[in-house]
Amino acid sequence: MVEWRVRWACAAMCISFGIFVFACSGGVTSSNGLSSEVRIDIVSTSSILGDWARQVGGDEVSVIDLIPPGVDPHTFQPGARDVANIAEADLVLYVGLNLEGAWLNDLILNADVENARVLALGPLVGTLEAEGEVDPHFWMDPARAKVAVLAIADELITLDVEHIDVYRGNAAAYVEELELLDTWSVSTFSDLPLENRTLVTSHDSLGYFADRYDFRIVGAVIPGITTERNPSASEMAGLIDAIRESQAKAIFMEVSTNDRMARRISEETGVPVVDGLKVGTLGAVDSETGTYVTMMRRNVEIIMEALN
Amino acid sequence: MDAAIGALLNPFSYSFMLRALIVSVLVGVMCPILGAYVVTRGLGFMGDALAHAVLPGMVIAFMLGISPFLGAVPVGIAVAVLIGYLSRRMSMSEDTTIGILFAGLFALGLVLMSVAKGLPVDIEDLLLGQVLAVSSSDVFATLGLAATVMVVLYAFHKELVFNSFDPTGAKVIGLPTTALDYLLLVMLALVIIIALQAVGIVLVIAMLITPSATAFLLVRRFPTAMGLGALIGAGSAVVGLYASFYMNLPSGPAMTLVATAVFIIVALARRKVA
Amino acid sequence: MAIGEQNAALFVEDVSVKLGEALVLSDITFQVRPYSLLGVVGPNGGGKSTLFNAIAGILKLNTGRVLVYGQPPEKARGKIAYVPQREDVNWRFPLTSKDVVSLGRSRKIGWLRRASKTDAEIVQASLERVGMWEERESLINELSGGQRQRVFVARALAQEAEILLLDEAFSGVDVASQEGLVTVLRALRDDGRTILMATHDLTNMAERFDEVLAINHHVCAFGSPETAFTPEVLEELYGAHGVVFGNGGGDHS
Repeated sequence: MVEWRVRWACAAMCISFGIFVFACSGGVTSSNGLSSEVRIDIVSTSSILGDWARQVGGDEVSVIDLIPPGVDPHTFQPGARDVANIAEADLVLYVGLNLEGAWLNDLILNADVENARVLALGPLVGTLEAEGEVDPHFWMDPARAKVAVLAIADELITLDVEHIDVYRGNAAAYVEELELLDTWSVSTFSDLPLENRTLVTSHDSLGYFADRYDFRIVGAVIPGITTERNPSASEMAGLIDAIRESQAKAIFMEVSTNDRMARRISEETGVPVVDGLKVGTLGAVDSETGTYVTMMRRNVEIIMEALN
Repeated sequence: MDAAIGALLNPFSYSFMLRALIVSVLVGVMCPILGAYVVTRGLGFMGDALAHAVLPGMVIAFMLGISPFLGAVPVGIAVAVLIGYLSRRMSMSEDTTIGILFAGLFALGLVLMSVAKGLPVDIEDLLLGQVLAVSSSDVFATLGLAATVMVVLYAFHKELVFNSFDPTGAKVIGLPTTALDYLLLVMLALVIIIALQAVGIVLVIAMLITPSATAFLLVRRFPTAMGLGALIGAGSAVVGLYASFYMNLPSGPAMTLVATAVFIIVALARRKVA
Repeated sequence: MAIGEQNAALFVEDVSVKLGEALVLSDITFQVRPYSLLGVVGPNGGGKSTLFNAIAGILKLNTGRVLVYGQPPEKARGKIAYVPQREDVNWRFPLTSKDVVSLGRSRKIGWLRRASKTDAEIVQASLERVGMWEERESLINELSGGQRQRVFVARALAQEAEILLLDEAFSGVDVASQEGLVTVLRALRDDGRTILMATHDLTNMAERFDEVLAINHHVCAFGSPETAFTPEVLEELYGAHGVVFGNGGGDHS
């Protein structure tokens, strides 16, 4: 009697497992972004770098972003498929400067990338510091974005010298777009008086932005350049004091971070929380912030609206 | 002198510190009161399990946009009853049943968190607590839960004690022992949920056990140990909060370390005297 | 001498009890008069505790019925007091003798109400009755085996129980304390209570008990100690060895 039950249970488990494996394998082949045509397979850690790669590479590249839209790059946890993607990549683009954290090094090690080229974009641009450490959020300054974009073009040319004209052409066009963005931003902010140019953010991610457009960073809810730490009581008290003193008009929260603390600070200081800024990641592909340029534009609009 | 008073009062000029203080003190009081039962009935593993098992409830609450606190309450009660029921029914040891449930539910919570990508939930807050982020409604909810637990424990004190000491005798005299067991588990779940705000999933067990164990080193009777434990717990909470403010430490672990230090000091002092 | 349902303190008829698949007790029939002290003897595993659980109303009967002063145990809850075996109690629980005896008042006090002065007086009287008032502030796990038994008896008194079931009251208790306990129990019997005590110790049966019930999954014997322990009964209970050790511990009559 018992044996009958045992056999039935085994059969049920085998069938379930079979269905599961079948479903997984189906998933892999149908949604694999890495095509079998002759394209350069690029894996980028963030959608921002991915966007740049697509702009420069055009049809010659196929890009996968490891970190999905809306997810915090500091606390991202890669899965097994991410390892597989890196293993099959021709080029891996990442920020470096400790933005991605140890998981990236482990991932690269795991994926055994002798055949791929790995490019850290952060160290190539002139960096600033925040809280005594190198601030990795360089892409918030279009001028530095330009440097990175040109570096990507060079890298693609090294990999695929045949299409050198395509890459140079795309890069030049995109750099022009970036310059337009920069000019537009400066002119938009020219209407904003200096004393209103205060930024309170969720974490220290707008250093380069502030540097470029003459803003003052009053403080951040999570002090420091990563979101992995929580503020202590004295840090929270310090921020509340700083906000009151600077008469800041808004607390800017990025979409991917926990906003409980910010709301408490907002309640206590009377300064409203403004949502919508995107820093670490782009919005969804077909949304209004799906590219670097549109994302930056939207950020400028949000900031302008809140502080004016 | 003025400076000392200033140092004591200064942190609480911030309303977030005031809320943190209220919740921390409530945690420091309620945990050892229930902790008296935990220590004497060996419910430590059960308590740890309940703390972990409410994770999916909190994640779902986040997904629905309601306070994770509220999400944890129904799940906590359900899990407490489920664990109580299954450990009676299964022929495996209670340890095994509880272990399976707790690990499974905790893993479910982690998977839910990664599936709901972009959810503004900080795993560190859930694991270690973040009492600095409690809102006014959280404070009221905590007060409500704490009051409920206190009333229930007071009202059913003699029956709960009888059932804990001699369940067979209790049954003979006509007490509903099964219901009493479930009642205690549900109260334990509510206190754990309160404590999650301040010390997180990982450290709840410490606040349940340590101040209570310290109290039992000092006094003999059960009700006295409850009261003394509450005092020690509340004291640890307050000192921990001050340490967090002036020494820039995370508040949950600070509270736990103070409670542990108190235990060590008392344990050592007793040895010297004896 | 059979006693009727309504007259008996304890009326057990055709009782059988199953634990899982096993039939632990079968064909149990006996009656106990009020004001008596009954010894229940038998080997370990023979069903003594199971019988007590059934009488106390916390175990389901497979067949038959149990009446306590004319009522099934579920209806006579307050009247039955159970002094459990060592293993069933959580000794780690920090209660004083007084605390334990106060537990006996739970039913009388009722839900949601607190103890009154009367309750406190009854607790004190119970402790004095068993000679444990001096030890009222001692923790239960600091007491000796015999002292603990007396505290539990005091609890039964505080409960105002009419039937006391003592399961293995003598295990872990030295002989002198055993005698002390028996003295207390006999006084309680004289006062109008019915006491059943399970034991596997056959010494001094005659001096201790009014009647004995020998159980080894069924009733092996029931009656006065002198008549109950024939060699056949002893063999049924304990095998061939039983014959040598029975009958008043070396007192061969």
